[in-house]
Amino acid sequence: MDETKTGSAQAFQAKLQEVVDAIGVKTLPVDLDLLKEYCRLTGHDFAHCQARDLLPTGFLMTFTSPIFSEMFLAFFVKLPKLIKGVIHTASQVEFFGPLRLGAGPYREKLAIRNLEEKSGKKGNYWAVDFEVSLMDPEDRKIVSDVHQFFLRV
Amino acid sequence: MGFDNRLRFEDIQEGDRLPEARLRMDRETYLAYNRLVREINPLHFDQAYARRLGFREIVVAGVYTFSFIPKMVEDWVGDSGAVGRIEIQYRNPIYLGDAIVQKASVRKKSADQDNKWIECEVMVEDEEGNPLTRAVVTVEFS
Repeated sequence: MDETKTGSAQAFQAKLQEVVDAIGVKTLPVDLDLLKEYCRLTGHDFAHCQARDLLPTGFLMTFTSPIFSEMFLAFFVKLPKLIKGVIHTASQVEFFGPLRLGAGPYREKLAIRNLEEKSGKKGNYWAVDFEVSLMDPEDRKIVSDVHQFFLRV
Repeated sequence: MGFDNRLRFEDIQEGDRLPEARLRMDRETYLAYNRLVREINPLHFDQAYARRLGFREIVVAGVYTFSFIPKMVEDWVGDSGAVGRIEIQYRNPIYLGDAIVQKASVRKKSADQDNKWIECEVMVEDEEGNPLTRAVVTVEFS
């Protein structure tokens, strides 16, 4: 726990951490049908992806996204009345290696990277950075996907 | 676009503009996307819920519109695996049924002893030119 944080920040982070820990590590599906439909809906060239054994840049990000839905659902179920609203404000994605179609299964892990207490015109909120790390089967981190959310309390 | 059509680092200049992309957030396509990702946030499929929260329509998930940003840059560069980093800021909601315009330009071109890369700034706007999303996409060259 960060000693520079206020007591309320530490308490809030501890509650978030419980939810994050409960989610654990997820395995991401990468199959041809899923990829084909993703390509159809986003205008990517499926045949080209297959030929080059590449996943579109947005593909894994699309399928890591539900981990946040699961997390926020858990917040509202396990921490009722604590969080009144969620705003997704920014993200930074860094790729450390190519996303290979044939390299899966990929695994994803969620972590809290930063938490700050803020106040604005509409009340108090927490600015929280969550990181989703994507690992390949050799446990190499290939993507870091950091999302910032404002959690209204 | 295939690898053979890849732009060369030497041929790219700061200030180069990418072809604009216009996209409509088509209802049928987006709802199919929601089914694909098993979306559970009603903000992204329940109009009444979205309106209760003060939005005028279903809000399109940022991760859906995210898909088009690296694609625009990769299509221009001609290499679908070239993006090394993306920073993105969601400034205003994108609504189901609306049209968006993606504009991009090369804001920086850099090289050191080992690496060569460009940074493209992508602005996503509505049809009136209001900013919706801003992204900086870094493309690496070998």
